[in-house]
Amino acid sequence: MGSFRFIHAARLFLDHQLHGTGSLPEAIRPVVEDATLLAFDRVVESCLAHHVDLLLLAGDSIVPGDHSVRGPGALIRGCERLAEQKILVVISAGSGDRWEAWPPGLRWPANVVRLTAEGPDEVPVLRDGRLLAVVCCDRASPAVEAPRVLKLGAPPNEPFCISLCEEGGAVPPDAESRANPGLASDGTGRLRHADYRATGGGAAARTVTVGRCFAHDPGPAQGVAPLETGPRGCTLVSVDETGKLRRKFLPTAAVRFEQLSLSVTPEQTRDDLLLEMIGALDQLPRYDCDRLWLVAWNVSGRGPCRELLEEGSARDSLLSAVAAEHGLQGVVIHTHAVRLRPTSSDRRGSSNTSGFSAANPAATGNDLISAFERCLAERTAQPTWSLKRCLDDSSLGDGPWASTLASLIAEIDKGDVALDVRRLGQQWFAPLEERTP
Amino acid sequence: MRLSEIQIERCGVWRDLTLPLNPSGLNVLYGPNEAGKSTLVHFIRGVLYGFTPVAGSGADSAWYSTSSGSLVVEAGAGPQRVHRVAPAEKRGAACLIDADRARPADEFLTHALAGIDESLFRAVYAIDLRELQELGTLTGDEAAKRIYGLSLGPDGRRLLDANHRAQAARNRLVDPIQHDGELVRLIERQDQLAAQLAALDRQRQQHSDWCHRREQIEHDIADLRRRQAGLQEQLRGHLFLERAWGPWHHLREWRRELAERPVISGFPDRGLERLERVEQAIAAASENFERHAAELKQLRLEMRTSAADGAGLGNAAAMRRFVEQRGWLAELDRQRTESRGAAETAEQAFDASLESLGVDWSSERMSEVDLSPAGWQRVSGAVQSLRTAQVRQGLLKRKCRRLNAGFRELRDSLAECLHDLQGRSIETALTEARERLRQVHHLGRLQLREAELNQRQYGLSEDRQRIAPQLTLPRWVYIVLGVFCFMGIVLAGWGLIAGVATSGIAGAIYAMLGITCAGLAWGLKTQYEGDARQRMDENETRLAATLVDLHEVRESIRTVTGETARAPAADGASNEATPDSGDLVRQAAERVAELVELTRHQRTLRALRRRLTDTRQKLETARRETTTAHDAWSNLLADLGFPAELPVDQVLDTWQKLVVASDRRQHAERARAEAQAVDRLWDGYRQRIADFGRRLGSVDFDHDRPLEVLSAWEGRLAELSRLRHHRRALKKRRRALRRDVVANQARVARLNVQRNALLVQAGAASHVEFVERAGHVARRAYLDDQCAGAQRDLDATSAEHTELALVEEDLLSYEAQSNSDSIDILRLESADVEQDLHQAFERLGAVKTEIQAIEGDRQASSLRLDLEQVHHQLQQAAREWAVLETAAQVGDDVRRDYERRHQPAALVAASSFISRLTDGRFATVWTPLGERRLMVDDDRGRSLPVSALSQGTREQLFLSVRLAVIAELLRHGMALPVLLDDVFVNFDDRRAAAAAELLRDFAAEGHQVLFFTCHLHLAQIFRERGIEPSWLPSLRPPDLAEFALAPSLDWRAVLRR
Repeated sequence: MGSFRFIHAARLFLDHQLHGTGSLPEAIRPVVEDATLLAFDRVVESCLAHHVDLLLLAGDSIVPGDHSVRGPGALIRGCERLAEQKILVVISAGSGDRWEAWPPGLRWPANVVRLTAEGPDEVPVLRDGRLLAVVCCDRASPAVEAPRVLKLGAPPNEPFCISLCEEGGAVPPDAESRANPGLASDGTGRLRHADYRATGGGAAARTVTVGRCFAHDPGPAQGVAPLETGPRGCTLVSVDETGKLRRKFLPTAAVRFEQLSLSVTPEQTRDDLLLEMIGALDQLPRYDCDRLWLVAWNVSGRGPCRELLEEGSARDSLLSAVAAEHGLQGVVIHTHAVRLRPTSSDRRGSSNTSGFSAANPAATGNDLISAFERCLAERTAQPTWSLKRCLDDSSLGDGPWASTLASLIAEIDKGDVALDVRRLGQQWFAPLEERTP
Repeated sequence: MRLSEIQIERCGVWRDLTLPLNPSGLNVLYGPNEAGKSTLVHFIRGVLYGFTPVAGSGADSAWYSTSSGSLVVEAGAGPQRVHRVAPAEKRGAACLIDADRARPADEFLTHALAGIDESLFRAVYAIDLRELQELGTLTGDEAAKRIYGLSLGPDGRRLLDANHRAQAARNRLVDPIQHDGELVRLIERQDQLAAQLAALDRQRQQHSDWCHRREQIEHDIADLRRRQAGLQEQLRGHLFLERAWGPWHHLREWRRELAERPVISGFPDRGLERLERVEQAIAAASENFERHAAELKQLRLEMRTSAADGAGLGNAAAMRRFVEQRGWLAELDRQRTESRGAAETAEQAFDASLESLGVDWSSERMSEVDLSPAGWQRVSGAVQSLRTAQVRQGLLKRKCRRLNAGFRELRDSLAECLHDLQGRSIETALTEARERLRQVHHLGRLQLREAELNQRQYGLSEDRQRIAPQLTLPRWVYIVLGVFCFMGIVLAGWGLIAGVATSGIAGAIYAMLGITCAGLAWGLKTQYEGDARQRMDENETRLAATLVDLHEVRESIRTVTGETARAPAADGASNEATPDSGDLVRQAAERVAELVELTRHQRTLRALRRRLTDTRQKLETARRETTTAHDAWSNLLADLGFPAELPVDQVLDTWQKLVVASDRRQHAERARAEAQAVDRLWDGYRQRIADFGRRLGSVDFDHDRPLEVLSAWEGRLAELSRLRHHRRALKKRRRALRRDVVANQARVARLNVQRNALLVQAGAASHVEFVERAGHVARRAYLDDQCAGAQRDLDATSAEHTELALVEEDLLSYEAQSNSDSIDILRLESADVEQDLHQAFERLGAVKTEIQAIEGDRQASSLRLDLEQVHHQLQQAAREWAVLETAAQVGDDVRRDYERRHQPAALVAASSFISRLTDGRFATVWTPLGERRLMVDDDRGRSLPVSALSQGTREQLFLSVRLAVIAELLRHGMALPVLLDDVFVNFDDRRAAAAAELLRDFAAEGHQVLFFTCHLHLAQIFRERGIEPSWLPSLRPPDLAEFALAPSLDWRAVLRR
């Protein structure tokens, strides 16, 4: 067996829009629109730069609900570029993008092999007519069907085997499946050894290693939601003559979600806060592919800096300064959210995530606030209390927008709403001098 | 909390106004327009809560200046004066002013205001005409809501405000009535984007259709290509036949001719050409032989002629060596001349240097002096040390003189100042001056306090004068009371008589009636006089206390003035009159500043003294260093042999001359040695030339001039060389001619052998026969070549079309015209197919362009991102709505609870007030169960909503509810002065009178009421009810006609400008 290299990518979500970005300036909007396509371009560039012999795409290459032809078109163009260098591309459909959901009439280049029920069970990986490895179609997860009975070692004199699930698959989560991550089915129910089990579908990169066998999910090539923070990309796998694996993460995401925490103090000034924010950004690793960071700041603590982050124009000014003065060359910083975490006093007033206990009147020193918090606590303490019920009790409960509102508030955490209600009540019933700036 | 005095130092239009107030009752303050009533209200609120700019006062610069003044506040233990100074646009800080000090009033105000904040004070305790006018501009429902909100009290109003704010915010998000709002707009936008995206779904179908069409076109292209291939096959066959027939035909003809020609074997290759070439070579070689032989003979004769010239060549080599060194010898001669001149010049320069040093100096003495760099370093080091020490000493001397002069000057000026202190130290004088400054400040405060007490005493005296007439009732009252007493006695007597005479019961009635009249008259007299006397007693008590305070203050002033008077006396100032506190403060401050300056001078003098001492020590050190350097210099001069008294510059100059002379002496010695060496070399060479000349035997030359001898030898050498070259050339030519003759003989013989061999090989006996046989051989060779070429053409044609084979029958039956026609037909068909293919490719390109356009269309991507962003905004808006809705529902819970607990008592009180204000026209104010509106019952039992009431009745209801809330707050221990600014203007006379009585009674229940009015009839109404108005001055001259209605008014008593 000769040494070779391949790249393993998954969850390309080609031409899918990013979620939770908030409103975007026109200047950075094209990058956000094309983020997934740029990530795939980066995958192709990496294949060419590292002279790989194989590209594995382990599912979720498109989102069928988008009804996009731009994404599949970009995929085919990328595969055509790889065909010029005779790089084999093996694509499996994920659970979300089965082959029947792809646009009909696509013309796949000759170097592309799609894993379908009617397709071949094994795909040889050749270089100059010499067999380097075999990509076998894993049609049923052995980890589920026979987790512990068959513990087979690698048969001698067999080529390096890469197992790719027909529907992308996932890294076995439990301990039992960890025992045999290297078993694959060849479609006839017969189990065979796999040196590398390529999976996908996970929200983050994940690897299970037993001996020399790997089950690996590279995670999405481009994060599409605010929770998918940090660099995203694909995995370059190098196999030497002895079958030993080396993996390397290759970042591909042009747009990167980040969540950073800030703790403000009453003594902190605006300049201190600015420096802290820039410092937090500078501590993050930066890659060549980065073009835009969408940052969410989670702010805790009290003081004038917290008030500064609450107020519109001052906050915008501060965030503009952060975007202008950070030390990352070639990267645009855009803040898409500033979340003010409950202060300690807020938390003292709340008993659980869904509501409040009766607040201590002495703590507030105001009868109306006390009464408000008491009523809020009584309301939220009811087991049947929910935002849907709140909607039903409102004047919009039977209105034309009720269904839309119901679907929207179903996504909202009622504990957060209760916190905001409490803060609003304190604002309403605060004494005049507290309200006067 | 109650107010007993307003003292304005500066606020708006008011300056230095002192206004006493009745702390337990109704105060009516009358003043015309622009008299400053609203300013008074503003001032009271400002002192209690801090000053704020008044709305509409932007153009009046007075509002932007400092506001200051005080209120005497009675809350708990005794009255306190609360003073507040607020710079322009500042709220200012409040302080409590006691007899001799001021302290922060925050704690006192917090206690006195009982937790009532400024907004509550404005909303409940201060009612003005503007508020009533705003009420008049509201619609019925709005006014009803406003008044209903009032009935809930201050917290209820805040609850209602919160509800209104929540409702407004929710309406901003979703307005179910207007079908508008941010959420609605976002939902509509989302629907629009979703519809646009759905419309773009047809792109997918279009893409599929275009892909299908691409498949069809590619299928058509494949068919056309197959047909094109068939046509090409046929065309290739015909073209093959056309190309192959020509070579095949020629090959067949040439082979036939070859068969007819004879075969000649062994004929020499290119025989004819070779034979002719050999014969030509034989002729040329014979001719050369003859020519060379004649030339050789002539050459022998020339060599014999030049054989005699060989003598003289034996010594040519030695002679040439001497001639070659002629240039060097000339250079040596020149050097010899120059070196002699240079030696003489150097000797002269040395002698001149030695003379410049003086007669005492000789070459031997110079040799004894160490003129090396080390010697120079010693001299220069000693000179530098000596000069550095002298310069440093000079600098320190100048610095010492300068410091000494400065020190003396400063010491003299300080001594004069200390003389003024009369022996006291500066620190003691400074302490005394500061103590005096503090006393002067204290005196200023005491004088201010004295003026204040004088003012208070003046006011109390005037109160006493006003109360004194009230101690005795008017005469007609006594007459009436006397009539009552008389009638009582008469009736009592009549009752006795009637009881005895007619009926006991009637008599008793009469008697009781009489006793009642008498008792009533006595009681009225006692009550009226007693009340006035009580007020007089209180006035007397306060006056006495004021006098005591005034006495104490004046004593203090005398005490302080005595002390301060002594202090200036000590400084020689006059103390005949009580000095002005401002001047005293200024003088004392100046004195303190002078003493501080003296202290600074004293510190400077000490520092100068220290610096002078240090400089003197340094000067002494520098002197010692100079002496040491001078001793070292003297020792060095002695070592060098110089006189000790020689100046430094002269020593340095002599040293420089010595160095120059030493250099010149060395140079002269070197030049002399060099000239001697050149002379020796010249003599040796001249001798060698003379010896060689004698050996040659040449006696014609002067050997003492070797250069001329060498020139003659050079000419002789040139002649010998030319002769030798000529002989060599002749010998070389003779050898070449001999070789050529021999070679020509051999060449002729060899060529004859070759000619005979060619004839024999060709089988010919003569040259003619040889030529005939050569013609046959050439023709056969030509035919062989042609056949081979035709065969190659045929092979090449076959190789180009390996799939085709040559068939003999086809070639034999070949017709060129028929084949050409077939080729033309096939080419036409092929062009048609090519054109079809081209069109198909064009269609395919267009389809691919469409597919690429669809695949590259980013409209759907943009729409999806828009949709996502709208969805995000919708989530935010929905969250905001959920928070607002939940908060509003919780706020409703709080309000229901509040209505249940607080509203009934306030409505009972408001019912009582509205009944009195309307003379029983409206009796009850109430709220329907679970509803948030007020109803009012009239005297006919009808329940009317607020919106059904007239403007005046609404205002009376508004006032009733407000007073009820104030009464309710009093029950909870919160009492503040009620400020009413012309709230009766829309009341008719009856209701105004009723309102005045209501306010009087309301004040009697423990409320302090300050009623401001600019209407004289309202002031008169209060006056008729025993409430004497306080008359505020107008900025305009007073109207005497108005004074007639107030004869007891004394303007000077209230006006302080």
